[in-house]
Amino acid sequence: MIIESVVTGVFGTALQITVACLIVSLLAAAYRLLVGPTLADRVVALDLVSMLLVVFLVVFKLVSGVNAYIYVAIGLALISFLATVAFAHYIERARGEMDE
Amino acid sequence: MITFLKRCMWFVVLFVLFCWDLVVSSVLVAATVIAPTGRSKPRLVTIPLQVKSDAGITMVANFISLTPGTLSVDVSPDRSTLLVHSLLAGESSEETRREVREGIEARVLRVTGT
Amino acid sequence: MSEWIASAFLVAGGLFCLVAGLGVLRLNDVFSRMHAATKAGTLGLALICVAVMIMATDWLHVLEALFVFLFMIASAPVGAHLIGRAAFRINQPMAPNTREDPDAEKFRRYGREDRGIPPEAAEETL
Repeated sequence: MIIESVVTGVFGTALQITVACLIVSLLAAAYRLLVGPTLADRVVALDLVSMLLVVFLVVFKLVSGVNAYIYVAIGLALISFLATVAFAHYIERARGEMDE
Repeated sequence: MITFLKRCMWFVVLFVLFCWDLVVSSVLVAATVIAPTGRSKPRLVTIPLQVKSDAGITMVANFISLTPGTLSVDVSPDRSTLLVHSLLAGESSEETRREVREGIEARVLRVTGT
Repeated sequence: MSEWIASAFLVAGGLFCLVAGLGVLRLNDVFSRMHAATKAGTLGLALICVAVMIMATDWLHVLEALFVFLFMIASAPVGAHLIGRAAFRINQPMAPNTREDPDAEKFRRYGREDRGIPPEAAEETL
């Protein structure tokens, strides 16, 4: 879809600042995801990345004016929650098998 | 009917106070993150629970995770104690216990009844 | 006027998301990092959803933004609790200045019983 509305003025500046903050934050979370010393650190970072992507989609709804992005945000929130639950279960079980 | 309405009212009160708590806790975390070094004094605190119902314990555990300085970690199998990680508790756990008992737990008790 | 208010909420939300990212980068153990990711991240999302609600032209759009916010508030602490419990049970290293209540050791035993590991064997490996 072609982005038609280019937001200007105060709100446009606010959107630019917000997107810049989100990008820095995503980079920090990505660093922790790649480097993080333990598995749990990586899962926390992955959780934060998916949450930031939800925020990014909501912001992008404001930038583009296309309302469908907010449905994408709802769907991504649902799926990322399932991913977090699955990874938490996996951490516990993986260590349990190592002990035996 | 009256009790139901009262509980709904207390739920609204709980939600509004919870939003305020969320703001305070985020500002505290921001201060801890931005401070150069050594501001955090983490501690694992055990909190005896007064709430008995499953819904009550779920609500207390979830709200603890989003209020100042605390994060719920585990519940004992007999559901009488909650293990909480506190970011700024330091040497004594009494203050954290008192805050939870008089703050979140009291409010949840008014909603769930038991 | 509403544009200015929405801009303020938007920038505040962005700054709290930044705090969440920096917290995950800077703090020194899993539990402290989870404090940053859960609280600051949720508040950032909430503030940005408020900005969307202010700028909305239709009641349906307000409702959708409210759904995103309510769903995140319901799911973020549950996810954090599950990761925290898993990290505690497998004895993740904590920050060196972490103190413990004496009862905390009992919860490690509960975790081992939950996974069906006999207590004596576990004492050696953990």
